[in-house]
Amino acid sequence: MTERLYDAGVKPYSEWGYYNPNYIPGANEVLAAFRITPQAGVPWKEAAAAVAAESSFATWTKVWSDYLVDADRYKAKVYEIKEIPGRPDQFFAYIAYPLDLFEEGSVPNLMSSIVGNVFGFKPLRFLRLEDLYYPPAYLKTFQGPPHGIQVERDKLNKYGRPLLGGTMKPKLGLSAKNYGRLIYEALAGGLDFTKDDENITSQTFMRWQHRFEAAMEAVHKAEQETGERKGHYLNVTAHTMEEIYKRAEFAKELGTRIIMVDYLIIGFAAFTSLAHWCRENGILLHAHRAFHSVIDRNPDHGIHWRVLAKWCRIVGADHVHNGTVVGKLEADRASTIAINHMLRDPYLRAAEAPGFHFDQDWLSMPGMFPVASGGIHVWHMPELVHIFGDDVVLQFGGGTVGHPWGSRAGATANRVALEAVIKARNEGRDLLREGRDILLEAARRSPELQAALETWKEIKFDYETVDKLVTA
Amino acid sequence: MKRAGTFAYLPPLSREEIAKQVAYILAQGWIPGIEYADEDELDNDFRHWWKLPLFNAKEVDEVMAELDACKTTYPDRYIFITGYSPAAQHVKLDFVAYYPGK
Repeated sequence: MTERLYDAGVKPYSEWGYYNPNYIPGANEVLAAFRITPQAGVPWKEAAAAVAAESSFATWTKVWSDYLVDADRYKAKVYEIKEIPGRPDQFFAYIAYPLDLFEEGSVPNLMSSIVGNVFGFKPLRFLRLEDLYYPPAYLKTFQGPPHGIQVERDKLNKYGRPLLGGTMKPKLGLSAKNYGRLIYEALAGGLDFTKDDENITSQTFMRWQHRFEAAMEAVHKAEQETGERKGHYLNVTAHTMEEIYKRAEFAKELGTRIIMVDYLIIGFAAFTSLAHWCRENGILLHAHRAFHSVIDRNPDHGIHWRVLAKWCRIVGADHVHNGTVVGKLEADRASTIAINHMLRDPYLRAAEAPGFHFDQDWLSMPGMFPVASGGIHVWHMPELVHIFGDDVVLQFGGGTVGHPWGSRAGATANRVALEAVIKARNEGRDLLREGRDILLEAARRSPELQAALETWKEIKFDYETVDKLVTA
Repeated sequence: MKRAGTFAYLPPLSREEIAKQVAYILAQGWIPGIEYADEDELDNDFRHWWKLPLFNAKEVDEVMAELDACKTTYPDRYIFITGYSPAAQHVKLDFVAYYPGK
């Protein structure tokens, strides 16, 4: 037989309905902004169309069974291409995805399409997902944060200031009893929260049941002493979902207010399950972003942190780590501040949020606390409050346990510094200009703060940021 | 030592300092309120209202006068000043304005 029964073969994606600069995205389409670096000689239009095609409907060749479906319902379309000043080798491509492509409430399904095979596609040298927009109809299929900022403040009975946390150090090797003592000292000294390290699960030096029991005894003792509500983020990260549930249930049985998980490491199916469990059980969820740098640090390839952070809000945690801006971990300052707004605000305006490409209406989905953690200490307090405002968790790990008199004094020093700065801000004082005076005044009535200010006087972290903000 | 409120770790606020925080509450468009509590009620979700939130208060002095009246009536209680944001539908500031015996 020699007859051609249909138009078989390969043809450029851009001529196949995946590129249309006149297309106006519908109100219910998912929008993606990609930064594309094509291989030499590949036209931009074709590279962009290839991304749209490979992340939606297309296979490399035309197939007869294409004729059985209404292809236009499933084809993603490149609707705009933008040059990037100073980077002639790459460009931004904006792609609209029809809603029929996606299962309701499923980040795994969204990932399989938009960040699936397409990232290994040969005509592309690099590919980076920079932003993702969720239309209202799709957004409402996701749970979002189990409780959110307002509910968390009511649960903790804490208002008018950032929450204060600290990671217990050293990271590994402490027995449960030693560990509990560290937690007790820090909470009794004035921290609101203490935190497990992200790589503590159930190792030989401290099995999880014993850690949970010791931590909760410490929490309860500190609560009795201070009359304040406290929490320890019990890390339930484990190797099976059964084990994660088992640990979460035990944490609840012991009366914890909050648990934690390494949300990128357990994966989005497990994370979604745990977020639902937390909503049902009235337990707050602290999400640690360990693993994110593997995905987001290369400026040309991978997924930008702002996209991973958006997934954290739609799936659902009450806290997620974001940068500190002032501490030891790098991140572009403007980008970090924009991501804080994305996490907390009811509406994000891209024009006021550097790095974001799309406005995002969060509808009734609660906001979540960004967590600033890593290398921060009392001297940073005025700038941190200036940058972050009230709705943030400031975590002083080394900045608490490293106090020359121990962690109780370290916790008190941080708490006094924080409250003095909040009080001064409310009085109308300029935190950036008068920050030093505000701290020194407060230290006159707090020997703990005085000692902390003397200990960390000279520390600075001024390294060049690797992943700088790129805008069109 | 029992702690409560936004400024739990600072020395008790002076009258002038309290007035500044009240001015901040009013400037934000928040509703000031006065609550009192026994020591064993400090961490309760529901402390006792002094009257209702001061919906009509416009001046710092009005709030300070209510604080004084509450002190005279309950000299042995902790007295809090709160700032409530109807826009956020939430308490935004909550500090102890009077410690019994201090």
